[in-house]
Amino acid sequence: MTTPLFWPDWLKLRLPYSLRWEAVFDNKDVFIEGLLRSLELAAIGLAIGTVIGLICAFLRSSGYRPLAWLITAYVELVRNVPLLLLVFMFQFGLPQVFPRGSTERDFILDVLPTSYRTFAVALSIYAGAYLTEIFGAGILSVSRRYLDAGRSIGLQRFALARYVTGPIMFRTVLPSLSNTFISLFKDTGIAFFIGVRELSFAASYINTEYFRPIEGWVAAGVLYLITAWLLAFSLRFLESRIRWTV
Amino acid sequence: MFKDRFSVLSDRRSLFRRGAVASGAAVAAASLTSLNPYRALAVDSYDDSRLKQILDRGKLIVGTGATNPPWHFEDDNGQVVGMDVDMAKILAGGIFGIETKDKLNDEMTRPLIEFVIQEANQRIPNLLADKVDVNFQFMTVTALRAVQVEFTLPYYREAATFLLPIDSEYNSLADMQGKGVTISALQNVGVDTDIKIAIPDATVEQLPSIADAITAMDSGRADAALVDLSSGKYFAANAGDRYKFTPESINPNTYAASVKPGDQIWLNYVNTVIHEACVGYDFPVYKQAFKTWFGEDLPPLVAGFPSEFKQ
Repeated sequence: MTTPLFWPDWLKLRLPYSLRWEAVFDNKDVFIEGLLRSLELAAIGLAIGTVIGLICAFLRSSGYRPLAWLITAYVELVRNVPLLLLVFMFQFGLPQVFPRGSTERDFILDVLPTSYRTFAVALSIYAGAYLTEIFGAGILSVSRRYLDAGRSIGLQRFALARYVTGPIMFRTVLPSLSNTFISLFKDTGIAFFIGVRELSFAASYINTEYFRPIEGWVAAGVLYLITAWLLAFSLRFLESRIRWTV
Repeated sequence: MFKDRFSVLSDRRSLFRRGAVASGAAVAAASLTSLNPYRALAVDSYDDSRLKQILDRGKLIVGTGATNPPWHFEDDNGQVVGMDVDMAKILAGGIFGIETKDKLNDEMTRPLIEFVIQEANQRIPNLLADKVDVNFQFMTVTALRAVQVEFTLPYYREAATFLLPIDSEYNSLADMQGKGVTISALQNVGVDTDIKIAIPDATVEQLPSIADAITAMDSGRADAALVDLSSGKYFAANAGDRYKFTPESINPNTYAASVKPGDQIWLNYVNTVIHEACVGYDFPVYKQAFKTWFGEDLPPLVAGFPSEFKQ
């Protein structure tokens, strides 16, 4: 057994447990692949979520009542349900609505064939609800004066959204977007419950394969911490570097 | 009078200083000899042993699960039942002096046990953190696990089988070869490798519980679920014609209880109880539990030469 890294010798005396980091270092690949998969899932969630959020936020502010109610129902339903439940519903619940061998069930299994795809879809829908609220707030924050100015030069509804509301709103919501990305990155830990091999899976794998829960989860925790911090740092940097022309 | 107080204070301070030096020296000496951490855990007097603690506490704390029939699962009243639970009752009955015939009597032994419901991957952490006295949770004995916990004598010999929906096109392991099947399984040691040995082209979905693995099969996410042979038999017999299982089984292995390392008195005690349940005085209750959960009648014990040795 090699001496554990990063652990002073005298501290070992107090632990009823001897740390063996080899379990983690021998499985670097599992952790690195897991981390990349987590980032990938978060990026997909943010990308699709942004599209959903933008569409829903603009549609809701368009003033057509039934549509606004529908979108509010979606946002409230998804926002007030744990992500885990949403993921379980998509992965295990949805196919079981239809009997084995029915075309509906086969269709669902074709559209969402893997746990990875299911989680990406569930996370996107989850992110979409949050981003609808964020973009909604961004749209509200655009002052009436800009809209009036836009109308006065003859901009129609779509052009107004594209050239006036959009850019101003985007500047307001950019910090919230970074926040959402980081919290989505941390939410990917839930994917492990349906068998996606992301970062939390790696930690759990070290636990079950080597019975080293502390080493596995500490390693994953450090990776989550560093990655989330790096993301926050670089996104903040980007925000400060973007030159606003509006 | 003031002088006295100050002298006391200064004395105390120097005492503290001396103490600090002494303890520093002790730490230095200890780290030089680099004690095995288990040394600090070792319990060699009855007064320090867990057995005494349990007797003083009046309750046995057992780690088990709630989602794996017939080992441990919730009955209609929400109470955890199963073979593991019955083994815990036999142990608690032994500690608190319940007569053999009453050891499986729910009213007599259940109040003596506090069940801590945990996931399979919490078995070792909870034991090491003193959250439970003993794990009865279909725990497979492996040499690597034995580095961290101490296993008792075994109380069952298990194997794994593939659980299938009753109308599945597959009936045996041979049917599933080369079809690119997906197998769901409890995340467990070596499970990827074990399944790939049986079905080389299988995709393995590792999930946090057996219930999740079976749900994955129910929802068409997996073609088959890897379950214990005993569970496979139980589901095929008790789930109303929903499941079947492959006749082939893989990975015969040993189930034993586990205890925190270093407490030989407690380990010996649990060993004695399990031994006597399997081949001794408590055999009638073990046999009764076996019949209840596995549906099999064990042959009666033979008197004479001890069954531990072969002639």
